[in-house]
Amino acid sequence: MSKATGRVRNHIRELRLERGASQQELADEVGASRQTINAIEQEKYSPSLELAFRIARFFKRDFEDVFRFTKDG
Amino acid sequence: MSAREKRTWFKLALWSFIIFFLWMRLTDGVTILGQSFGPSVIDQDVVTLLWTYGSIGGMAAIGQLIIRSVLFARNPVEEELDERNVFIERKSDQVGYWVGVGGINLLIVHALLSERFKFRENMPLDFVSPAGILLSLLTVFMVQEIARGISILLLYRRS
Repeated sequence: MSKATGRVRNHIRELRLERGASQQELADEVGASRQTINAIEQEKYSPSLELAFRIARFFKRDFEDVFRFTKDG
Repeated sequence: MSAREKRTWFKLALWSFIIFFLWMRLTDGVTILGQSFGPSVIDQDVVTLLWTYGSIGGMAAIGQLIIRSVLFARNPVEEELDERNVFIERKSDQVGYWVGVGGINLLIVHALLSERFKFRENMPLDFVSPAGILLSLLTVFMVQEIARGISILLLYRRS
């Protein structure tokens, strides 16, 4: 079985700006630090499933409207 | 820069200073800023070694206390603890662990080979004397902490 490699992409920055929320407000709401939200927005860090769901819930969107998985190659 | 990263920079400075102090006290060689340190271990009496050991313990304890309760009293690092911080702490603990394991194994191989081939007298760093044991083990512990700190800073930049 071949191993699927890829990365988790997200639309958090666009959704956050659309909603007029700061990184700190989002961080406080989902229980993370502002630095962590920044790292997720820059796609340097992939959040846990639990944090990802909390972020999607903050935006009142379906999970896949916020996050998507793209395969390499 | 997060409070964790700032604290790590202070800790790196503290451990670098202590490792410099240790080598300055127990080795001889090049003279920098009026202090001599280098590849030769100075054999010292037990009282001096105990003083050196105690001074290092004291410096580490006071340094950590200052960093924690003076520099970060208003902004406790624990408040920032979330899953990314925990991930970075775990990864850097692993790096520190493997650096420690590597360092101790290096000392074992060095001690065994120097005994087997009888070249201990010519070795620049003799780890078998009490001063050598103190120097080598404390150096491994400090390098372990420094490696851990560097990996924390790198992980905050990259993940």
